[in-house]
Amino acid sequence: MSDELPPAAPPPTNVVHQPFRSRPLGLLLLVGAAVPPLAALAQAWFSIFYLGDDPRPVDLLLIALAVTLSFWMVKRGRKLRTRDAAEVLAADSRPPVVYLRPFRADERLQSGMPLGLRHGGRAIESLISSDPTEETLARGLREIGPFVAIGAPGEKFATLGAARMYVGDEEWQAKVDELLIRAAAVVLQPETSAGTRWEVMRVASAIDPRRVLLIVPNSADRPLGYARIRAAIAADFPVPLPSDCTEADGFMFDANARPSPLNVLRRGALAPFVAQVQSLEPNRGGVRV
Amino acid sequence: MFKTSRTGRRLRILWIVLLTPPWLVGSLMIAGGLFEGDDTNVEMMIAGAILIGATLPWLAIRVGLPRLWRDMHHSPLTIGLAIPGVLFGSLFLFMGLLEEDEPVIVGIGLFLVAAPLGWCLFRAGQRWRRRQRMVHDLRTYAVGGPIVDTDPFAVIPFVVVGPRIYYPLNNVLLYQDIDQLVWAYGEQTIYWYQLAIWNRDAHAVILPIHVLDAPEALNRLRAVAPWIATGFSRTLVQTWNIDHAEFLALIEQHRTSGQPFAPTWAAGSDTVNVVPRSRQSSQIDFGSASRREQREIERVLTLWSSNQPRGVSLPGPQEQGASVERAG
Repeated sequence: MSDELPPAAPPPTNVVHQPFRSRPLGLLLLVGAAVPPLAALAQAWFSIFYLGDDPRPVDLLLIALAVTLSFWMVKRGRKLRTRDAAEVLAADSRPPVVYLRPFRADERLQSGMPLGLRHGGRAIESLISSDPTEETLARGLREIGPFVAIGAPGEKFATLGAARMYVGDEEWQAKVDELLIRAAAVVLQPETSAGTRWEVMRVASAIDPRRVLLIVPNSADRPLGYARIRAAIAADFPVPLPSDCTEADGFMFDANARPSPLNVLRRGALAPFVAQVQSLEPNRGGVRV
Repeated sequence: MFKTSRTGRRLRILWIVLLTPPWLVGSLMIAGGLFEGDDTNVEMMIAGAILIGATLPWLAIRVGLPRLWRDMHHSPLTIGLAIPGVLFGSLFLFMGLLEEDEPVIVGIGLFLVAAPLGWCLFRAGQRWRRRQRMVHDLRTYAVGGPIVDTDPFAVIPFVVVGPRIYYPLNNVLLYQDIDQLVWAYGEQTIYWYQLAIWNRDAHAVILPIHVLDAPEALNRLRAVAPWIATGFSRTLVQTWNIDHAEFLALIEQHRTSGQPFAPTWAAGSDTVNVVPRSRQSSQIDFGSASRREQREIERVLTLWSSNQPRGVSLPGPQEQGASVERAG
């Protein structure tokens, strides 16, 4: 028996962390989500109608807990069943809809109350909820093609909405370029960070404006955010966004890059953009037609 | 005029709808008890009085009538015990005195009257003592200017002395510089009212206050710090939560120029109806909502404190690589 240790394996280079995905486990969670509420209801029914007990508050609490657990299982199950963008692109022959946004947009939650540290007084509910923008876009744009995006590094589970591909720090810009070349449409959510500004510049210079859907802060809810984004992209787009736009959180463009406001979160608001993209010739290399 | 939100007006209508039936039925029962045949029906009168009495504490809190009871106002439990106690105690006394030789009923009546009143006096005394200690600390330690308030902390839960605002928090007198304040508004439920004052570091001091005194408190803040945003609206919340740096910059701009903060988009109601956090809500969601909120607060505080410069220079496509913050 040799005392020599086996040679150490070379350290992996450029390993990209992939989120945990498992379609069977996801299916199991989705199917199993019906069990907790049914079990809680059956328990309450059994104790009231079979044993003849009076209805108890604890039964209501159990049902509420079961419904909450069920919602969690559905959401986690859907996340586990998400497919990698490469798989989605391989399975769908249509050109993709590419979603470009700052990674912070994935983390953002909506809160009905100001966020911060409170001292004294009574505690209140801050009514935190997820931002519905991406899932609304995914639903509204699926008629055009598969909705794909670059995933934020380090995610434990893939985000719902666009199908993610996870790439290393060295290759993300090349991958974005590769996606833009074949994109049927581009959904662009600009910010002032260097990465998103690079994306704005690439899209504004290379993509037919009729294929671009610009997502901006709602001018009624976030006037300062809208003003910031309007100023940030002014140099890249030939026609500036309107300064006094009310209730718009998106813009589509005509052939001369003149913007038309949209309210993308409203039902059916994306229909004009979908129709415009579908009326265009198929994308041939992403260059301006 | 103290503006209330649309939700507040709806709540007020709801209160009227809820209170009218017991008052109507209770009054009819008392009247019926008084004029039933040749004799009075005491039981029916008591039942009517109970029906009305049960609504009194909430009505008193809601309309803010008992300004004299401000000190016990922040405790609904106190009033919830006191008013029915006095009411039913008086009825017991009345019954005991009507009937001959009923010392037990008279005793119960006296106890029911005395105990809640004593409890109220005890609580009021506690608050008075606490306030006196705060006033003493204020007169001892406050620097930078004269104390204008004749009775500090009695009505308005903060005192402005020179460039600082002083307020009691958990029985300790604290202060901060006025130029650090950015936003103030009132929070209201059906039980209580409190004033939230936010500073530049995203810390809020929450001060209980009587609903009738809230306009005066906000007006005082507007007078000493005209640059701060006062009032509550969805736009202000979104701007604070997402466009935080721009919001602070705008406030700072108003502060340095001495202009009151009054952009049209920031107009809102002085107060917001809020949902109190209860243990039950945490049980229902396994505490996940509060954990999620905690994570989100930690995330935004880290983001806001990172002090990243905005408007960084745009790298060209040839400069791809590590110098560009990633997006996707």
